Amino acid sequence: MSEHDQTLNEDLSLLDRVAGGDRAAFATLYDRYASRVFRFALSIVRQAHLAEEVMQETMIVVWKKAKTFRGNAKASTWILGIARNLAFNLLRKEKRGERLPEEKLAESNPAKQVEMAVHVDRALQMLPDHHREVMHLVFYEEMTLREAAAILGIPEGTVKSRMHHARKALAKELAS
Amino acid sequence: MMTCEEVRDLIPWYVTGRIEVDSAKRIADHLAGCADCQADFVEAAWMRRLVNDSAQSVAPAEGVWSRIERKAGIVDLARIDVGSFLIGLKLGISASSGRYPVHGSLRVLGHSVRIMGKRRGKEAGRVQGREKA
Repeated sequence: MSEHDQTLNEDLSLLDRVAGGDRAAFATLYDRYASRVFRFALSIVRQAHLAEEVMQETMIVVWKKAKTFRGNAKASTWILGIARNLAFNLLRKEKRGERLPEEKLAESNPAKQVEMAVHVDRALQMLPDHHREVMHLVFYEEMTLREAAAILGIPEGTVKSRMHHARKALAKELAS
Repeated sequence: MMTCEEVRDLIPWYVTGRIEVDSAKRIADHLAGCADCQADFVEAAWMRRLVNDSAQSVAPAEGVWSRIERKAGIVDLARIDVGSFLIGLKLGISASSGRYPVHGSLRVLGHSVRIMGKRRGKEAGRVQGREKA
């Protein structure tokens, strides 16, 4: 069994235990997914405090709804799908209110002091949400075309063209 | 033979390796003789690194887990934890839907083994790594 398959099986096992109210399994699942959910949410909502809120609510939904997970999708696809719905709901609420304040990331990092890193972050922040999101799923989450299409709810051909446009947009931002 | 357009559409997945072997072989064949697509491949690999570095540079703040525990209603009403990191015993009483289940674990050489509490099926309930509760 490959390492990838083993991870999938462990995730399914953890979700099964979470469905049975196993708190230790939930804590382990949190360890595995907190950063992934946070980073994916950040690719959509752009602000760390909102991404944390999405991550928090996502994990609570996972705790409460684990019994409804049918196992016909990967656990990661199910969890990130929940995060995606919550992130866009939150974004809609935010946008109905005042303009989004300037983005502020929660954690300082020495790399952020490097001019190039700042430039790259700014370029990524300038991308439309759907471009940043697809790049995160493909490059960071390393999803297959089929997996990305499933979580985004769009045809595979649309994922390809969206990714193409996202790359062009990022290249343009980086050059500016 | 794949066209440049077909190759460029699939380059991101070729870069990450999350692509069917057959498609990867055909892309490799195309890249061997196409300078434009080679440049596209290099750019995609570079962007992948930028996206990954950017994502890796941020992490959720400490304390979110505590908020999740509270909001999910899985905070212990009472808890006892004796011993050290290497060897110890942890017992807790929580409140869940009007019930008050007791759960516990034995800590041996940094690993926790569940000794009380709800289990399902064949799951032994062995907890890998550190326990949060």
